[in-house]
Amino acid sequence: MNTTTSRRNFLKAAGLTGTGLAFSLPLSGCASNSPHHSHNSWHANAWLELTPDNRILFYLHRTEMGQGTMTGLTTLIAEELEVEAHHIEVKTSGVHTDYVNPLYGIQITGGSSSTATNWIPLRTVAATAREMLRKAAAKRWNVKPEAVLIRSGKAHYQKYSFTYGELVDIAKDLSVPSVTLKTPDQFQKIGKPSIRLDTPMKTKGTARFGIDSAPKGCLKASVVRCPVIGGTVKSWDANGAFDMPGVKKIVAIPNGVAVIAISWWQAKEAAKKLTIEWDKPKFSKFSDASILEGYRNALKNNSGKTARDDGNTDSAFEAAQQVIEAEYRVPYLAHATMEPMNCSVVLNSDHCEVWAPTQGPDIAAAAAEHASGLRRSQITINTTLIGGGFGRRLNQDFVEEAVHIAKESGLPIQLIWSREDDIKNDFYRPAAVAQLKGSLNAQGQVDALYYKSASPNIMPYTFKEASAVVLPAWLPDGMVKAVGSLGPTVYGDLLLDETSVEGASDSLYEIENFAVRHVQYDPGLRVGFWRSVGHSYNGFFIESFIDELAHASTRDAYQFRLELLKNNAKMTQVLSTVADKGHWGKPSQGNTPNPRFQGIAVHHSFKSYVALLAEISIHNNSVKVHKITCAVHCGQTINPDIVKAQMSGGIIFGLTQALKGKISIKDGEVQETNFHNYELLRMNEVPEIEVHIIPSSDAPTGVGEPAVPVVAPAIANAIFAATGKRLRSLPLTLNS
Amino acid sequence: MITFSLNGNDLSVDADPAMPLLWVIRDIVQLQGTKFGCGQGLCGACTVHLDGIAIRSCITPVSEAKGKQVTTIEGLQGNTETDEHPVQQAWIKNNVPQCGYCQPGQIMSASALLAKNTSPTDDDITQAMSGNICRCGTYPKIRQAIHDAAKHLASPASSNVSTVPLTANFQSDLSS
Repeated sequence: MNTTTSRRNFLKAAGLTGTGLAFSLPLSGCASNSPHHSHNSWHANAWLELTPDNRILFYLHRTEMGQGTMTGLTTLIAEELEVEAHHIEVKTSGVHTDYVNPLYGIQITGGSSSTATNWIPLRTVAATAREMLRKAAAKRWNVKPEAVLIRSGKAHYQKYSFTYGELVDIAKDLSVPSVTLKTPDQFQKIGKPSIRLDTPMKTKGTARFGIDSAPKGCLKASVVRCPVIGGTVKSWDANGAFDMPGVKKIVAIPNGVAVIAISWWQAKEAAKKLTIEWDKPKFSKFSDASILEGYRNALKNNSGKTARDDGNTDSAFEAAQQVIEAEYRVPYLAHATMEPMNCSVVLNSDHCEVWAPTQGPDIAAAAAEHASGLRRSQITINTTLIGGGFGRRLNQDFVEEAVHIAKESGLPIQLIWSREDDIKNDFYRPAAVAQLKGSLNAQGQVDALYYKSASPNIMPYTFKEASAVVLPAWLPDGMVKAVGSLGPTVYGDLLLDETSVEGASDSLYEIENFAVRHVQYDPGLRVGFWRSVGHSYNGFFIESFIDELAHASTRDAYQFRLELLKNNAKMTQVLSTVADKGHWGKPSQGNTPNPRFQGIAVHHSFKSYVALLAEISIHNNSVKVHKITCAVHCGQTINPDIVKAQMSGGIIFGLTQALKGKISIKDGEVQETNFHNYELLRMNEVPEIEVHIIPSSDAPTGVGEPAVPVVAPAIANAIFAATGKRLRSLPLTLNS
Repeated sequence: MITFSLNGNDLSVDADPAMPLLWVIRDIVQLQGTKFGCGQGLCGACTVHLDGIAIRSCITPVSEAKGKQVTTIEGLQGNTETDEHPVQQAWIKNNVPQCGYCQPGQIMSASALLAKNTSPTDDDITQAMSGNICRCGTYPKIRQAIHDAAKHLASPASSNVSTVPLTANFQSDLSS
């Protein structure tokens, strides 16, 4: 691969065009324009800094939340720079337009996109630096660059060698060359398992998460919020909370009352004394039953927006031999990251410094700007390691709260949410209801598939928070808020929100008449991105319904899918891999008296192809999952051990969704509070998991999310095989 | 004043006897390896050893530690940087952590198990570890790492688990 890195083309390759400011940033040299400043160093670009004392610093612009991006992206640099990944010092990059995620236009870590979007840019960055070091060495030895060998972090010529540090002074003044990236057969590090860079610190207890990142002197804050999200404080009484030990201050913020104390436990104890009267939002009139009724009415009364309309489903249904119809549904879900939301803030009249476990540092900056009343240039966001993201930390409500508390109190504070705060104040995975209709012809083949769902769109909520990042900084705050508030109108009435239909609208099944429609219905519980987003339920809807059609046609569920995907080599490959490795049609006996049954599912998301075979048995009317066999086609792996871990972790996340996850609403209040009533899968419920990666040297695709969508349908399909009962709502329970 | 031993050092703290040990460790002593996850003893992120027994520090009043020995993740390894506990070595070799937040608690539960049972069966591991939640789903690697650590404890010489590069040159501004 030949990549010409003129500055302009480099920026284009890095996806940084169109951001204006990015063009003014040089690829090499000029420290004054670099987002990072240190003396004597060579800032090769926004990511790499080489120092005269031979240190290599990589400014990591994505958040490490467990997905392995710190190791993966550093490995891309290490490969082309010819150094060991663990010799590179990883620093967090801070917020800068150079670091924007090209898929989204903002600096977020999400969408299983970090490896895919950095695959070419970061290798190019490192290869460019390597070639400049080669030229610098050639200059020192007065030989041709081709005579210089770059290996193991040094430049070599005959018996001589220079460290990179010794070449920094010369390299930084050289022109930027064209580079040729390594081909897969030349990879030394990419594609090989290695110890993750963050493993030792996470094993020794020295890794610093957001909750561990409060600067010295920060007091601790706990907030009491309205039981119904969106409520505001009407009046409040400290009721003796001031006199509790350790309490320093109590302040009202827009959505609650904050108690500030020396220890967080003291703040939490004192907060129990507060009495608060609330102005409750409209959502307080909703409960589970009325919400479901609202969804069904929306489906009945609205034609919705068209997301796909292949062929003519209406006439296909009229001509059909057999028509099958079903309603499917899923509940709201919380993310339940192990590290509760938290944020530290030190605010004074002209500067606001924030330490936040966030997936969107530039959105956090916008939230801090809005809450503090300062200008963007006066905000500093320090991104920390995060104890689980799964999409929750794309929303910055916890940052906004913390800045409000710092502003109202005039104190440096660390806000920590309790687990109850976290479960009850999420941006939830939307609940959704779908109507599916399919038809079979005389040969038992699928003629038509019609999908129509109702759910709240996520984009209005995202738009509200993120619009300030993409709008020009000079716009007055009121204008930014006004634009942000357009979200519900824009995405509710005008545009289709792709995230509501993904997994259905882009389904790879080869069906001639295929229509997908979506009705926006939002009772008012805020929603957000939850690992695999719309795929998390559309995978369940489509893959369960395809199974229904397979059974109606009396064909084998695996063969039925193969036939519907016959022109897609990658889908076929993952399907046949799980059928082969998981012994489709021959469930293992196990050592229990209850027979085992199998279910299969396949799904395409985040540009990856995943198939999964589940083996279950039924004990006393409850489901026991014994074994999961999974296959993924995700292009070139950077670190196959991390890919397997992501798939295995995604499967366990999917098992929690399939067997346990449910948020219930009564009078607008989320009823679940902690892990006893919002249960997550524990070790005693984890089945044997086998992950097969299809070898490939295609460009890498996502692995953080794509395992989730196939889990629930594979288990539901196995339950049908075992019991003849088709479970069409999550979580899957046989007693209901 | 409540006096107890923390990671081998005698300590007196001026705290409400009802204050959970977790917050004494985090907010007063300012050792931050022990994590807050649920505050109800449901997730195990706060697990420490009290006289060698794994306990949930988020629901254990500091008064219960009086005169006893408390060990946190920071006290598990030996005195040098490379002197990890066999459980930590097995964790590193197996690349167990993802986000890593629950891992100090997982490691404290695992090391307490191995202290009284050096060759645990799968069922023993399940029993000892089911109080610790991992949202990332690292359970299969946790199980494998415990088996590996048990093997190492049975015959330390035969299983060399330190052949992997540890933190030798690696630095990050995300570690303290």
